[in-house]
Amino acid sequence: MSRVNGSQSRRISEARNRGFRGGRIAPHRAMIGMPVSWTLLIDLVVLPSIFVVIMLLLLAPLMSGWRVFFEFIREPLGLPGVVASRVFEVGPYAVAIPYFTAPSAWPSMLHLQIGWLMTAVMASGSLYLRGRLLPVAYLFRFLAGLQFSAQLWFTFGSPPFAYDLPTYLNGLLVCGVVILVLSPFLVAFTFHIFDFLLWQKLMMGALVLSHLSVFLPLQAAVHAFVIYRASVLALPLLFFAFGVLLDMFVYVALYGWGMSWRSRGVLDAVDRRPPTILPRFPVNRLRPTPTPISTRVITPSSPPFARFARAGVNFIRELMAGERRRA
Amino acid sequence: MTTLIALANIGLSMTVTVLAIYTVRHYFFTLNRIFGRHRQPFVDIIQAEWPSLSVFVPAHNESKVIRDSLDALLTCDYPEGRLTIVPIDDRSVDDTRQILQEYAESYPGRIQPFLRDGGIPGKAAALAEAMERHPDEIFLIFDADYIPGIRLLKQLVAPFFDPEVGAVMGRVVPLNVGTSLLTRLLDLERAGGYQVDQQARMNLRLVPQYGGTVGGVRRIALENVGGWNLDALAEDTDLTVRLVLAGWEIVYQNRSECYEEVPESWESRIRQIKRWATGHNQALRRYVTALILNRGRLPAWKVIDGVLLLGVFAVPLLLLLGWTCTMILFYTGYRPAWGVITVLAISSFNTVGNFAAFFEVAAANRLDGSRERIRMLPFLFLSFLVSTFAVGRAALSRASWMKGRPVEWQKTERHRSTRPVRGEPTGGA
Repeated sequence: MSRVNGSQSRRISEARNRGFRGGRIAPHRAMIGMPVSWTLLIDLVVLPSIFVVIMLLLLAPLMSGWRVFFEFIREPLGLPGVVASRVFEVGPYAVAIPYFTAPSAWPSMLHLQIGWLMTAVMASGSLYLRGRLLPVAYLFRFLAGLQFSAQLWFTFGSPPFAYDLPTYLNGLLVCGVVILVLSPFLVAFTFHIFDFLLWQKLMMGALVLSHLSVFLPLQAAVHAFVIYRASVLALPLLFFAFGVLLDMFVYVALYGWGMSWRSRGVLDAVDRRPPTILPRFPVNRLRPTPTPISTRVITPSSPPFARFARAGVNFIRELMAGERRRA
Repeated sequence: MTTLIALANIGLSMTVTVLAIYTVRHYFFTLNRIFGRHRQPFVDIIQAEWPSLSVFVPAHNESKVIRDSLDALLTCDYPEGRLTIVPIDDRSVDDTRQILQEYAESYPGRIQPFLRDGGIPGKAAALAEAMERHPDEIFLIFDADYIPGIRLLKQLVAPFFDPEVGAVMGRVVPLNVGTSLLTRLLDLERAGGYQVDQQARMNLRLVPQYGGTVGGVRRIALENVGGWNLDALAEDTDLTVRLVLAGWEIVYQNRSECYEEVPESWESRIRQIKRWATGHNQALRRYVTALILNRGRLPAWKVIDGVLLLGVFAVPLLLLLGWTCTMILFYTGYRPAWGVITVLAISSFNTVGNFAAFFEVAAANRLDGSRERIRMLPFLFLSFLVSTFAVGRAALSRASWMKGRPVEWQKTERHRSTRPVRGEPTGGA
């Protein structure tokens, strides 16, 4: 221990972790943690900054790529209008984000009837999902609840709706671009801080960015197609359930996979997981031995009396032992 | 319409503020658990003048699991003369009572069952009555399905060598992990709750929660705060807050793991979490004012953590409010005044805020060495969804906020098959 502040010296700390033949004793999962070192600065500032700079540099060509994709997919999807761009500015930085200009209609009676039918099917169908499928039932109820709110609004409301397809798509893609640019910092803060190898950290950042780069225009195209065909009646459900929330789950899925990678670092020294199959009392542990019958006969069963008797006997024994010692 | 939009704005701002606080808390706790210095007081002590100890095992129709629990307790390395195991049978209608009598005959003096046929039902009342009959200094409590390790009793008693410690809590680890999707998800959640949440609270000297099982309490501390609250729906949370208000320390021992059965069916899980939510909200109603007024002159961070701990099951109500307000603003076409900044804020909050719980769970499992299990992370959404609905319904129930609900035994369904009687092969792993 250090004489100055009572903290363990490095050598003592290392010696404590040395086991048989100099092997390293891995800490128990309850006690394991990670040291704070200067490399965290690289993980939290340098790496994400590099990714952000690369992303900003690639943003203009990426938007061109999105525009090409939108123009390519517009006709097969049957979307009228053109692919336009709107400039999104943050400070000195500006980027032109492409979007479809297809119109979106106020729902017709047929749209509303189909909507009510689908909502009813989802809500009533969820009542029949039980057992293992119960969480799916809750998901259906959640979606049915969202759609119900849209049904109410468009049944009793009157046009125009506050959003049209182009505005909505532009908003969705602006949010997507913001997430795309900020995600390296989220990756750094939640993934780079662990003891992964450098190539794994770079790989995770690249995976997230490339996946989102492909996913976002596809998501926008699907939303455009559904809203154009099903009217703005579908817009609230898509916005609340399959918009930014879905983008976040793309990251959750990739993150879950990345966190399962072997790192050969401190946290990966040994497999420290708690046992998975422990159906009952472990067989490698001795069972208790019942008190022999002969002893049970002379052991009083009444707890207070038993204690009193034992205490009395012990007291007399100690007295006698004391006498013997004195003698 | 303008008034409605203004109200919705206020409601949404309130919700986002509270959620942002919980988000910051999630990140802060996780980073503390990963990089912080861990407090695990006296966990290494194996030789000491151990205090007299009563281990209570409350049981209500637990014939499927009670034998394993008692066998495990009997083989713990706590000095035999200082240990009394007290299985409490409260009106069981299955074979629990016969099993306890059989064990009492086989281990006279060591196992002293307490058989209840009357009085107030419920765990708190059963524990209060059992405590009166056992004058020991320390009480540990295990649910009937728990299988403590050999050193566990000493590990849990050791923190009581500090006279300021009023209660101790160990870590609960699910043993039936591989049974279904639900058990896997609960395993992930439990790891997050104990490995990160509880340990970070311990490290930061906040309010680790005494969880009612795999834990214990000092007799003097319990008497000091007025004993068990017989009408508490969650006697553990109730006791935690009262101990904190009275200035007692609560210790969480992350090293002291004990295995339990988690619910294997969603229906059972919903019942369990609704029960927790109702009890928690009852404690919130009872103690939040006392905590905020800070009559115990607690440090501010402890008060804040206590309030956040109590409020955790009221969050779904707030979420409901937030969703309603968001929908009002969305349908009315309300445009936020701050343009780009609002877009940035919403995008950031949607990703960073929603991700906080996933980060905590993934970090906990990485620390546990359960790498492959983290791949289940996206499925946690299903568990969160079910829990939010269930907790929301519980939070809206009368029992959460009003007085007068009778306390009764609320049992989690057991899935273990009945163990063969002594001498027959057990087939354990």
